[in-house]
Amino acid sequence: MSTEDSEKLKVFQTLLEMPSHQVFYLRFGPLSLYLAKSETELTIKWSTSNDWMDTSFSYDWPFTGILPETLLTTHRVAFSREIQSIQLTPCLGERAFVAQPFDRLDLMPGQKMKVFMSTPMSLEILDAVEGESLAEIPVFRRPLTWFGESTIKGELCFFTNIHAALREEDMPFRPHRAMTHVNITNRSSERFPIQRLKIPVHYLSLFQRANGRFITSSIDIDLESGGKIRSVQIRPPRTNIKNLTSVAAPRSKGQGGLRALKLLELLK
Amino acid sequence: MIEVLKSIFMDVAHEFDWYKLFFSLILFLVGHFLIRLFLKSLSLVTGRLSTRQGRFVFQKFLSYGLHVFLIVGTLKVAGVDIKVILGAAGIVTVALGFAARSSVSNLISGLLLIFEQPFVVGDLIETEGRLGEVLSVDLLSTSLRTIDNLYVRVPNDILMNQRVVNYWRFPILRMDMRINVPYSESLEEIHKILNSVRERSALSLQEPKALFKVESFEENHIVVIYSVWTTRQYFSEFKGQFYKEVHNAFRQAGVSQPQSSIRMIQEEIRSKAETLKKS
Repeated sequence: MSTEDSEKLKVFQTLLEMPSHQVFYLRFGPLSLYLAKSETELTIKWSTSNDWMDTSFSYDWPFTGILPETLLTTHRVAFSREIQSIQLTPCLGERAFVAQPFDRLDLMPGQKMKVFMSTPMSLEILDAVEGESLAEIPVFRRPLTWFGESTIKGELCFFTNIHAALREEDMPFRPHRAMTHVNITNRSSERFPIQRLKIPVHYLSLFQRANGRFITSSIDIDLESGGKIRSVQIRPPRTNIKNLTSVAAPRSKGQGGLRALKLLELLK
Repeated sequence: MIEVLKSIFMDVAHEFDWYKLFFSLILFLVGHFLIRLFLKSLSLVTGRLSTRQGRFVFQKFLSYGLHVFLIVGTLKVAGVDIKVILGAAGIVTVALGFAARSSVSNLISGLLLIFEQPFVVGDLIETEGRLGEVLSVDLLSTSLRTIDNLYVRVPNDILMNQRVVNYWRFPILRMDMRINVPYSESLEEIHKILNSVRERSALSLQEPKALFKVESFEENHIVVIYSVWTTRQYFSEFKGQFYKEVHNAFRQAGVSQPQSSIRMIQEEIRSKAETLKKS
């Protein structure tokens, strides 16, 4: 990723002082977003290509092109006061993601593995003065899936395919996806196949690095015999904290034991 | 039976003080109003605390209990000797029991439904060939709203004694789609088309995985069952939408339709007739 791209990604750390009737355009991976403001309303228009591998990132302000109206979804927010400034904030999903590696991945007994995976984010539009959330738009349509021990007991999650890189350098950069570092330790005497991994993104914090990349809290998982999970811990990202900007707190705080219990159903 | 009731009434009427009767009527009306007010304000609190069915059952029993106390209190104020009524209640109960056999059966079934909870208020159930949303589970009957917005009242003993299918019991549902595939088409291609429709569908689930099963070989076609999962909330709209998308995908891919035997014979006859005509 170039320095120019890194600088562009800092648009998420700035407030947009939008004059009325000017259009702000943002391309964030598959998402194309158009914002326009008047004295009494904010108009949000968007479309998505649903191409999760899209690495586009750009913005244009003021946007002087032609809006592809027929392809756009429109959402209008009305106010009695004029909105002074807007902030665009990426955020993590409201449900857990089930990540399925493209290729089979096994962890040998007694071994540790660092897996780097990414999940698609949503874009939240905030009134910067009041701090109110005006809209939240997923970057693309997230397929639903069921994750559980049976069709009776389980949880509805979002689904994503991942490369499951074992080195960060092997992770392709996609601006609309947040990277999560998962450490898995196999303390059993059996080989453990990683077929699917549930990433509880609603319990994770979101940060942005100096180079513009979005990362989340890390997850540490210990496995024991029978493929059972002994413990799960959520930690701050394993990177120099000084180079990180906090973007969003976890959506769900959980309730101590309940949170741990839910997190324990992470692997299948 | 009539003589018994008459003697009870004479005993009771003899005891009456009409001033007390009037006062007790006022007391009953005020008490009834206060109970309703109390239950309404309670619903604002319990609304956040429990399920719709739990709130419903709690309020019903509380309402009946409070009204029983109110009636007993009102009768006492009216100067009615409760013991006389209770004494005759045994005889009346036996008589009513025979006359109201079916109501008693419904009542017991209603209690069993409330406590066993094979379905709760808000569930989508199918019974006696009708599909409907459960509006309320009352003591004698259960009210449903059908998908074409009709009100159906089903006696509880029917629900206890017949098969009831609850579509909302579990969070996800499977939809089985029966497709007649002509022998001229490749099953692998059909499978691919169906999978691509499923992947594009916003309402279908990635897991559990869809199933593609060859069910039987018929005269003109192969019967294939394609099973795909969705959440219970989307079940009604998913079926129609998915069928439409499959049809469109088949048309785009140029998948032919199976022909019936009669149609094939007609075409064969037509073709032979044309050949004869030419010759």
